[in-house]
Amino acid sequence: MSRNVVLPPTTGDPFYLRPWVVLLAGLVLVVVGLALTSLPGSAAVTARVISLVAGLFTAGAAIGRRLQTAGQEIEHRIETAGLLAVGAFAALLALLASTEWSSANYFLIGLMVIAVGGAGFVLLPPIARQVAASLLILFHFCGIFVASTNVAAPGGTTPWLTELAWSKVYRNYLGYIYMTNAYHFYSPDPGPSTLVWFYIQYDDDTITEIKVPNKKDAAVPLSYTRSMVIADSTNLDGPGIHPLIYQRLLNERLEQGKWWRPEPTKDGEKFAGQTIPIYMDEWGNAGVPPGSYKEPNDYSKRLIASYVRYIAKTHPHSKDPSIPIKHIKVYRATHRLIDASDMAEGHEPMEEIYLTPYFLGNYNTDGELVGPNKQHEFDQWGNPNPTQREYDAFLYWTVPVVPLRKAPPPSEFKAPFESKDYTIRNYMKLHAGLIRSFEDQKPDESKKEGGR
Amino acid sequence: MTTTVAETPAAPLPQPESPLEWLRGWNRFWFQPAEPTIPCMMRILCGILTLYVHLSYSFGLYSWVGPEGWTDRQVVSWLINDVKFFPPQIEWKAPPKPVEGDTGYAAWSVWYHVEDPTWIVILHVVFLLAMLSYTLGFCTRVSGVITWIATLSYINRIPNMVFGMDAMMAIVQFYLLIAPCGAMYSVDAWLAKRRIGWWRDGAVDPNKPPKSVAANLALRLLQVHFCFVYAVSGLSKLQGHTWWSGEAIWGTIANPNFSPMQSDLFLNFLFFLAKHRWLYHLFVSGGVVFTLFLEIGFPALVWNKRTRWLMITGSVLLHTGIGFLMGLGGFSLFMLVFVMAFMPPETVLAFLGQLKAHWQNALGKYAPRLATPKGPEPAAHQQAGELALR
Repeated sequence: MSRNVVLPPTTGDPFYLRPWVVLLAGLVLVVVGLALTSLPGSAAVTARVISLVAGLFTAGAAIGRRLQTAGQEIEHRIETAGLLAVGAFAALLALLASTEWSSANYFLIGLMVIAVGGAGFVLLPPIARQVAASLLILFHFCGIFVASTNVAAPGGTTPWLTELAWSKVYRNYLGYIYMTNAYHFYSPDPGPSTLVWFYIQYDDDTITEIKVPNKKDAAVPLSYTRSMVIADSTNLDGPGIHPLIYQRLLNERLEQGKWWRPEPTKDGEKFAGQTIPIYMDEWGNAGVPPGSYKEPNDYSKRLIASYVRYIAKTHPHSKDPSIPIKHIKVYRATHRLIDASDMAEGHEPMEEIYLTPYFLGNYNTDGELVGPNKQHEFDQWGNPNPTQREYDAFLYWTVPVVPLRKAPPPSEFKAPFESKDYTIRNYMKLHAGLIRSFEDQKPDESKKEGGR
Repeated sequence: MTTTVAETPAAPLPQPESPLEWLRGWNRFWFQPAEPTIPCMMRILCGILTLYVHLSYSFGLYSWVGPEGWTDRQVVSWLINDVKFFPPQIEWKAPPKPVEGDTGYAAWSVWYHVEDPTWIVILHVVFLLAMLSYTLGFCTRVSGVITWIATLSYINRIPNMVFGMDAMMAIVQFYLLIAPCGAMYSVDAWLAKRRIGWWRDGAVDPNKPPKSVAANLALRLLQVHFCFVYAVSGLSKLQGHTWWSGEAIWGTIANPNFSPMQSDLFLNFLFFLAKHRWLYHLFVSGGVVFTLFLEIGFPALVWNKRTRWLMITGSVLLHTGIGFLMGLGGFSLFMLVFVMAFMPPETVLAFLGQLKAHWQNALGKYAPRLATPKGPEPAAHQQAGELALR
């Protein structure tokens, strides 16, 4: 039997499947949902939500059905417009029934606009409809242009016109359909990735280390990629600080870093003080390279607090869950890209010397910076707040990982030096409380790991 | 049997002569009815990928969308209610001022409101079923809308965990909502053919799917948006010094957290490259030139029939490379679905027809009883393939 057959025309839908009937059924469900707003209790809320959602989808299905089957004659178009108008009315009723849910309101207002606009659109004659569609297309792609150009160039500002167009015209429209991406993939340059580490210290002085991302914890590759993005979200730079305040913060950081003492144990055991530099070259010379202080923006700070709360809830003490968490130290590490010349010398991209950790704070389980670990506050002239006696000068500064040479330089200078020639001082581990001193400071012990 | 392809000179592209002709060209471009073959194929692939993306949320569902997950209710509440928005000032030197009463991100999500663990699971399962239904093409219009709502609900709930893949997923899904993408290769079409219920009016001749303006409009929107993505992505790279110096590709393949460093083969490849400086520079500079040429050139050259296949092939190569070398498989697969919008349906059908014929030949060799290449569908595909070759 050939498939090239002309299918006979249909005889029409049965009564209960006609679009008007289905639409009215949807409207009734929405009205029921609206009526349920007056009833208290969670069961009533659940029933209201189910009724509203079912009503809206039923109405939507009816309109969709009508749009697929309606003719182009004026009578048909008027009827279709009528259906769309009733659909908009259903969305309005749903809006009235969900006033306490702001995002649902936003969604429903969008639905109403689409339905009312659609009703007007189908009433138009074919040519006018094409003109209207063309204008919509132009409006849409102007928005995509605005979204993709509403990004500041490195060291610059966003174009004023596109910023204005974004804020006055497109923000809500493109936000509604999530077409806000600027598509600046790997630009201006491919950057290093970010890692975030949580060190949970329990009341018995044990420490659990949580690394994000962690391939072992990822159920599927996509979960790993998402955890990479989680780590990256702690790296949203805040507004720059005044040079005077920066200088004060730097002085305080250097001062506290000169004689940093590991936290004593619960039993009262104390440890020798250590100097924690901001940066140190392989000969042990300290310095302050640009980018050593990176304060995240407000959004990032809130996210970090949220991550801390999540980590605190999901990581009780492994042996005795009743042991409370004392605090959680958080570090963000920038994993710098390895140079090809380093790889040519045998270094591997995963070596810890390519990590630049930053201290993001010491938190309680509620995600609040704890005790004396708040950053020093300054007035607009850079004077420290006299009432704030305790502060953490390490906050948002690097706590570096430093490769130090074991021996004096050879007669022939060779850079980069080979792995066997240096020892690593991971000051972040010291600061986090994982170690109390360095391997190279203990006699007859040498670094075990190294590159190829 | 050999097939000879007649060599016919390529017809010159029509040049618009007057504004009226230009308007006709615009009209043809956007509103000329087209077959829904490609949108229907895109629906299947986009549906499979969407299903995979959302199935991945099932592992640790509460940590993604739960009120005490990574992004907890405190952050969400701040995001949707309190975050201030500072528009640019009209006056020179006016200090930035937030808009009164306009606080919170322009975003909506079902997950802002659902916090009960049982309902989270129920809703997640409903969304997965809708995505499965969309992939299979069952109640495609409704399931497509639910799939889009679900996708944006997850994206807006965890804006700090989404990346380029999610943006591409949202774009492809949105434009496919316009197209009649359940008209072919779908349960809807199967039901329509059997004249069941609401579907019987949608019955189409399987060999001659009805052309529709909506199918063309959706494809054109996808195509133009794809060009935007490529043009902006390529041009923005010109700001970067490593793209100028020709070493940016190294920055993408030697990223220890994205690239497949756990593979000895890959790591040894990087070592080999690093130890041969000439090869290294040829490789990374070649990669940079290829990427920039493709991303900046694509929006111009893809519209010309002679260069279209070069561009599409380049795009497929680029995204295959990104998927394998940069660990962004999901993103790459969505981009490959996205670029399908440029493929002529007859060519895709010809490819599928040939694939099917090869498959049936292979089956015929090993299991003659299984191979019954007498059905009308392969013949139709073969016919379409021959047409495309001509």
